[in-house]
Amino acid sequence: MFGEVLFEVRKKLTPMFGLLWLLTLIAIISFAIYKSQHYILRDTLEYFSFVLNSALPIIFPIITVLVYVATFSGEVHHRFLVYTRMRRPILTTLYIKLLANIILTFLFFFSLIYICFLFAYYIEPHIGIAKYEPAGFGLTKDNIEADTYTRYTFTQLLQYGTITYSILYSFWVAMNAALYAGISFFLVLFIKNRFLALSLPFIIYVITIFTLISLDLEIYRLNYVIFPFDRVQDPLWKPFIPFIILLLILLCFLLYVKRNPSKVDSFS
Amino acid sequence: MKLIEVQHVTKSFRGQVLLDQANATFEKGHIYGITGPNGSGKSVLFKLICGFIKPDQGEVIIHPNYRAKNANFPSNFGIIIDRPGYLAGHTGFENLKKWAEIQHKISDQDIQHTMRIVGLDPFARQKMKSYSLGMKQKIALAQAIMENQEVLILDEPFNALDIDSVNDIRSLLLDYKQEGKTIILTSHNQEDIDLLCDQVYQIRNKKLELVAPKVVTKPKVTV
Repeated sequence: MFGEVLFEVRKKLTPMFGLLWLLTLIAIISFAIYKSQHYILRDTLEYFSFVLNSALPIIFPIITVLVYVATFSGEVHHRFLVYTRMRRPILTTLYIKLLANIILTFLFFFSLIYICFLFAYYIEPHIGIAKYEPAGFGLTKDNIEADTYTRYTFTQLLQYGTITYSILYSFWVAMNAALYAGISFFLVLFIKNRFLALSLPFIIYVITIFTLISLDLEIYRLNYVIFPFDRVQDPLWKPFIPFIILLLILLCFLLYVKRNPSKVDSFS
Repeated sequence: MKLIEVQHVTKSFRGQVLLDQANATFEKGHIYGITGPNGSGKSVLFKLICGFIKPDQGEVIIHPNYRAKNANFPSNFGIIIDRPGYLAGHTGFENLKKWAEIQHKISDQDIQHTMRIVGLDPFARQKMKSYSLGMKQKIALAQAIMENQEVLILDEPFNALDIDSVNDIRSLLLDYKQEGKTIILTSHNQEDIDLLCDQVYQIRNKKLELVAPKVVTKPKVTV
């Protein structure tokens, strides 16, 4: 099955995939460049937060769907999937496509976040668009490093090096993106209305954010746990609470389909 | 050889019984027709045979030679159920190639050959979203036969086809029968049933009844 997953991944690495990645990257960085001209920043970490904390937290669930699930929904909607059934067991097809979806979404977001990091830390300082005045924030050469360790959630990892932080944080965002894509994948199978199925992750994302605000549980807001740049630093275990809940939802969906494939209308 | 046996199968949806104690036997090398009014359960019967859905009672037995090893679905079956399936943004050839890539049994030339058999141009760059219903139906037929499937389960295979194509496909199915293939089909056109089928089962009042005895010879369809 591993070979078939790789085959599916390779097939989906199309120019459209590259274009979506490039457009997302350009949009994020362009917006950050425009926005940063009006601010005085502390350091490159703050610039990195500028890059990621613009439109991305809002459109995050939309992009996770666009990477793979949107085309998969076409396979379901137009019954392409049904006609694979006499050639390969439907659950095998499902696992192949689910894994391809997770891998592609992971790669998409990992590379996206990592390039944003490289831009903020290594490219932008050479271009010199943003204005850095750490002294204005009471920061000196002696204390600026310690300040970054305690600034946002996950920046605790900076004490192990910027590369470690950038890899692990990119991994975190990519893992969440893959999780959202996995849940969206099942929604497409369960909900007949294609538009509703593709929109639901975004709708639930927004509703959950407002619900958590009203319940005074802002700390677990879905956008904060993935892009934690608007809050004081939280312990590293806290962002994992919503992640684990979403992971359990994904596992429940997977278990249901595994046990009741004949009850999934999309398969017949 | 009994290829498919439907034994005492009952199936209901949302409390409504569609098939009640249905029995049927399909032997190798014959063409069978299934008739019945709209919504009588013909497609449901096909889905039961293909293992897409499970009966509430009874069982569908597929001959071991036609069951996939280590998998709970029939092997070497070509199907059209309900309506054609496709990827809208791809050409007909690309669609067929994607299905063919699952088992890697056939080459691009085989796909092109099958497309010509059903009356499609394999090199047309037209995407399937702009195909007519008849062209989509031909793609559905092509995927059902392109891997030399020995059992064909065809739900309304002549739907939306022009008269020449209908004659071509009728002729093709009779040739397949001569080759020893087994075909089970539905059609709302009694002429299709009369011309092609050795035996006919009718779904009436939730029962599956054999309505015509085996006919020894049939006139060859002229194209």
